[in-house]
Amino acid sequence: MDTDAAAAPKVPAAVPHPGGAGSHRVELDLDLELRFVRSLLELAGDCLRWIGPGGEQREWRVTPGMRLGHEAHAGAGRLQLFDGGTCLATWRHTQDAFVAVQRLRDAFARVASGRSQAALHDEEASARCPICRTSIPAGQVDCPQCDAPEGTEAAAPSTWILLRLWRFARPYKRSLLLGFVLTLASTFATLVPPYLTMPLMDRVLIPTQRGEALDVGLATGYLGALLVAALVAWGLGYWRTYILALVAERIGADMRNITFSHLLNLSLEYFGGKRTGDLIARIGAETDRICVFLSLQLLDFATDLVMITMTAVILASIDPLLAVVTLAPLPFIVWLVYLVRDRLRFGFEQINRTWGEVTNVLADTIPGIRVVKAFAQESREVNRFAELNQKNLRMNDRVNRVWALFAPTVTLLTEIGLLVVWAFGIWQVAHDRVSIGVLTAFLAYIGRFFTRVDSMSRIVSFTQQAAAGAKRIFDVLDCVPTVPPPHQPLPLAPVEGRIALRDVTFQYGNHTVLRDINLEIAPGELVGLIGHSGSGKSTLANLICRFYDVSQGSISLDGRDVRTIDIAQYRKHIGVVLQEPFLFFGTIAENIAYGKPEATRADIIEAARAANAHDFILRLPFGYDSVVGERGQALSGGERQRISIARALLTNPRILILDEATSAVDSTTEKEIQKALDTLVQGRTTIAIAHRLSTLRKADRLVVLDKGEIVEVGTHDDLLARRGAYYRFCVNQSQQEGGGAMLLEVGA
Amino acid sequence: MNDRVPRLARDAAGVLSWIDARGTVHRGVHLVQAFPLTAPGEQVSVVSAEGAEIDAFERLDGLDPALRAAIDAALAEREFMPVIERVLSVSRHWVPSTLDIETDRGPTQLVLESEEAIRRIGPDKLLIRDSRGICFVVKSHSGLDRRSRKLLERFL
Repeated sequence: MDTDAAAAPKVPAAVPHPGGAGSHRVELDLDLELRFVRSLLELAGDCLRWIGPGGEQREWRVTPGMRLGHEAHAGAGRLQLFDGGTCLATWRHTQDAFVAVQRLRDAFARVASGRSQAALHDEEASARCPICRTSIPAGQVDCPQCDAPEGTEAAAPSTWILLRLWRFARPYKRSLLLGFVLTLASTFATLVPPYLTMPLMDRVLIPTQRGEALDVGLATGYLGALLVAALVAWGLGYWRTYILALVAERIGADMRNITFSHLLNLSLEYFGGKRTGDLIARIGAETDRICVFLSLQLLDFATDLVMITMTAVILASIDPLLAVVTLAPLPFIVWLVYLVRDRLRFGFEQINRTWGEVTNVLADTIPGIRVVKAFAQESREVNRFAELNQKNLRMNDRVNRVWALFAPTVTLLTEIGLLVVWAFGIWQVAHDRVSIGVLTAFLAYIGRFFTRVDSMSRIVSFTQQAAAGAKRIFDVLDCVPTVPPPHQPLPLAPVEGRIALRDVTFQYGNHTVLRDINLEIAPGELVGLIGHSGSGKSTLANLICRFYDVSQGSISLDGRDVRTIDIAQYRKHIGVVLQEPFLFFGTIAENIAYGKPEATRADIIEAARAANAHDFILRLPFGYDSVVGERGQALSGGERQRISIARALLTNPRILILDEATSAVDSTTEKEIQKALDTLVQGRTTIAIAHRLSTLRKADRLVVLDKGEIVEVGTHDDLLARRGAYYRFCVNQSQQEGGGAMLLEVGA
Repeated sequence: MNDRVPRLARDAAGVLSWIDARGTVHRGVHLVQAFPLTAPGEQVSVVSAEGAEIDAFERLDGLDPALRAAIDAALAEREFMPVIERVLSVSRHWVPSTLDIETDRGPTQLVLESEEAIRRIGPDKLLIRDSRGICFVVKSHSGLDRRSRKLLERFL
């Protein structure tokens, strides 16, 4: 089917939803050469109609021999219309149209098979979402899939992002207000001394110089006032700094807590795409930088601003003309700030990102140190680190070039300003328009004033740093979990452990990993999953754990869609034993009790005994109090695995997922683990992914997966007799093993 | 098959034997505490020479006094964890450092190789592993005298 290649006029308004029972419309967005051209495909009754970009139409009458083939690769889908063996037409589309196309394909299949579409539609509408075919749980009107909240729009990448920090500051409003009042007061107190220099000069010093007697009382009075002002300024300044620093630390701590808890609640999908070092840098360094910004720099900035405003007002009240001259360089400085700001922000963002990469190398290399050493790649890692550091330096150099020029320029402008005030002041004094006292006061003010302007201009750099940091924090916070918590979680009744998968399809990125999986698992049943590497076994297990949500279809536990169950509650009923057991830094007892921290020592020992781990734990110097390291170096693979089995046993889950739990160890260890596993699976609904047939021999049913689809289901003997995919596995295995132990060598 | 109180016996060579409730004799046993640091005196196991658990007691309190005494003696012999009572001096305030200490088993020296060799157990208890692999216990950090506490704090 050819579409018009020339830039096409828009297709008459496409309807995104099925127009009603019996009509399906899809807006296709690619042409055959994979250019972005829109066209419309419509199934109305038994007529399939394509309306091209130029308005041209083609029609086919659906006959029983017809079918639509649909596949997707690299983000582009291909829909083909077949009549028997011949292809009548081909259409292409992007991921956007994927779900709609699948719906159309299904509707087409129903029409082709001669079943009434309207009847089917009614039957479906009762329990399923009309858009994505997900079943709608009882008690909810909206589809849990389609109704999931969309990610928020990308925030405007500017300094304004700092205003969003208000969310963290809100609980501390009162302290902040007090801090601000204190800032005003203390700033005012620091402005008193220069004001006093005016009468001190005009009424004490100059008359004394002229030969009049020194008015000791007046002089003492002024000096005393100066001292009091200084003391008040000191006291207020101390109070203010203390309160605001306290608040800023708390805001920083809240920010870290909130970001970390948000991060941990994000789904696995997020962690799949992120690097450890980058996340560590975000939560560690950047919250700290924002905290420093809030506690010190912003505070200084506020003080400066108040100071400048007050000084300007005081100067204007003393002598407006002199004030105008004094404030003349200010607009230039503002303009400079504006000029430099954007360059700096971009630079700082780059620096932060590079910093994240530097941390990434550390976070990669240190856990992988054995691989690094085994392949003698130390120098390569050192070089990689040095290179990133070099990049960091380059970025910093670039920023510093701008910054180095900026700061002295501001200083130069302020010096020139001072010069102008001197010159203008001398001229004014010479013409007796102002007194020496006023000029002295002006110079005293202006000295402070320009120091303030100078320091205020520095805030540019800090603000941009903080803004860049805040952006990276909010990147995390704005990320919505793809496994959303249910709108109204219903309490979970005692779990039987019946799992049902209906039409489960899962896409990862643009790759369809699982397609139309239908499987019922009875309570207490042991189901083995078999398939080549990449056939979707682990993904299926992950979906059942709800680490990810299905793209289409539904998974239910005891008849309830898992998406309506509170995630934490749901996972309490699931025990997972992974191929690579992870032990946290802590004692063995803490590791076993990880899923149930309130467990007693007797519970822990009981679980360890059942997991066949008790004896070896007693052999350790500190028994259950022995510390196992981050990577659990002191223990062998089998020992660690048995600890993780004890961990799963202790929580007593109804559902158990064994993800290649015995594949990483030798056969002797495997036997020990197997013994532990046999205790574990008793009476639990178990889904086992295993290399070795020995685990799967005990399985009530075996499910053979291939390319994301179930190809065979049955017992070991059934499947062998069927001589299908499973049989081929076994034969393959026997050949490799010389006909000995029937091991299934299936990749991870 | 009459149930008797199990017995712990020691032969002339000093080898411990466990005579269980059924009268079976297990030669060469050890007594092991499952939680020697966090809950000493609870969850004590009798372990065979091959390392398999033969018998276990959740707590020792209600046991037959003779058995209790024998178990305590056997445990005491195996557990070597001197309790630090005072820190007299340190060679320097950074690792590696040699600490002159007084323990419940007499005065000795402790070479601290890294700060990780000090492990906190609970809020106030410390476990310090020296370069020889001996584990010293500080039962209560805040209960030490002022000088000892100050000296130790530099390494915490």
